[in-house]
Amino acid sequence: MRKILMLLCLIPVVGSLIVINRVEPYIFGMPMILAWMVFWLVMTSIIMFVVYKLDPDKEEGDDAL
Amino acid sequence: MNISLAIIFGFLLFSLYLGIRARKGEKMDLEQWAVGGRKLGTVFVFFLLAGEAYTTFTFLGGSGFAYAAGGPSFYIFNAAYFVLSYWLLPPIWQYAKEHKLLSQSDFFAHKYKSTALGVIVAIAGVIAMIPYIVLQLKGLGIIVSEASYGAISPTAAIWIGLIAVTTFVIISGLNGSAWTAVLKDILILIVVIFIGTYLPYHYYGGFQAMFEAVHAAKPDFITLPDAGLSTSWFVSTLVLWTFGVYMWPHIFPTIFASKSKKAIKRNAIIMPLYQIVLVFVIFVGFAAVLQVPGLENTDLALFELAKKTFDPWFVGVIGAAGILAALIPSSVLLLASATIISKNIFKVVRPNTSDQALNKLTRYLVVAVALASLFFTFNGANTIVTLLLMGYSLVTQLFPALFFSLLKRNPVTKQGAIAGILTGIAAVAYITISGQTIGTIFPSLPQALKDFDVGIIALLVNLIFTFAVSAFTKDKNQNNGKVINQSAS
Repeated sequence: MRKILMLLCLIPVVGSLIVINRVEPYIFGMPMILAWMVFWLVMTSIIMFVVYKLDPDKEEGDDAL
Repeated sequence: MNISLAIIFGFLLFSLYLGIRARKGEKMDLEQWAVGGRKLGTVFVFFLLAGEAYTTFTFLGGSGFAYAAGGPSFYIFNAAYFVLSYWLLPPIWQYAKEHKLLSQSDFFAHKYKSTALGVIVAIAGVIAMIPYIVLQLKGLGIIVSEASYGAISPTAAIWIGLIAVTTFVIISGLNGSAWTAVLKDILILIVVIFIGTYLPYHYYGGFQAMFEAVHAAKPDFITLPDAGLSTSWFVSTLVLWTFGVYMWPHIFPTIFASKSKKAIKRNAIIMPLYQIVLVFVIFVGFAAVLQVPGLENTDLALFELAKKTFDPWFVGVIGAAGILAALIPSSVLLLASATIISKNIFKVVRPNTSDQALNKLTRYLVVAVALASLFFTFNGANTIVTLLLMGYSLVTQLFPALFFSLLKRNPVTKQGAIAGILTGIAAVAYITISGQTIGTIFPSLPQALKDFDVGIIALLVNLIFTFAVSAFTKDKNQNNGKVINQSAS
């Protein structure tokens, strides 16, 4: 399950080959190609968060600093 | 002294103060100095790793590349390597903690039980890191002379900056870098988000309006071209970058310095979001396209536009951010090079050196590496860019040996690892120096394949030799396992 989630993160790499090499439509003021890269930064972060939550090898104790 | 210069020096002194204060009365043995006593939590690890994302190369080079090339500059938004870091780094951290390792070379030497491999990795690492330091110093010179409106020459700026950074590295080690990295990132965050928003609105009335204006003036600028920096270049560069980025020797002390695996994993979650800030760097580059056209040195795009737009005091603040973006990565680079030279090269040649003597020697080496970098900064003009390109491909060659060593049953032998790394490096050197591309090596390939990053060839050569030699040396190693164990360490 976690591996499948990680593989999802490869979509931006492959996707840039096929669909997104274009300017329009603009998304949040960014051209399509830029918006796509930024969108996947956010998605990667979300996916990694889920992967972390599912990770059985989590250590105890908080260590923010 | 003008106002922008005063601001730049204010920040420089403050970071020097933070860097020295970071020592906090700790007893500075090599472990404390080189990897912060392995006590850094998520926040400091974050700032140290984030420091890698914001060097002068991003600050000047990112906006400059956007200004010069447009769409291809979007390759800097690569999230894939954080995914890799989630799996790759915790086992490296674990192993380093168990065996009290301090450097990347330690890791290879220990994993493959081969001092020879350790020395090869050490030498390759230092060769790769010095151009990286030089690039930071050159950036620093540009930033200070630009932001001080020419009041300080690049040469003077580089000397002052390097003295400051050498001082706190010698005194506080990695802790000094961690503390100053916090100041640096807060400052850069504020500056980059502000100018990346202000400039598009000021000159074009909005982000979309800016891109539309650029698109209207230069129709193919925002997308990737059909040949050259095309989609296949883009994808192959993303892939190579992903393999290479954690192979830089100065990344390892940061990983080792982490208090726990948790700190590393959490960083894999936060870092992609932090990359979004780079969007604003790109915005600045695009804003400059129509406002300061025709710059010969595209790395100046950000400063030329800033000077045209803002009051001198704010140019000073941008300059201060830029200086910290040069100095903090330099400090980590200096520290890693000095540690590697003393522990992984000198100590191997003279195994009887005491820990105390080694500790002292490492500090002297910081100064030596700093001076060597200075020499190349002032004398190596154009070759240095070639060296940096080479450095990146060079460290990427370490990836296969490292990756396979983390598997439960490592299919690669120490001979295989050495053969792969050496042939890979030879291929990199040949390709870089002769200026080959895939198109010139294989002229009959279709365009899409020709545009592949040429580093892929070196990596293939590396893999072929790694596995071929491993296949021949496998049995021998298993039989002589004990002897090999003894001869190592």
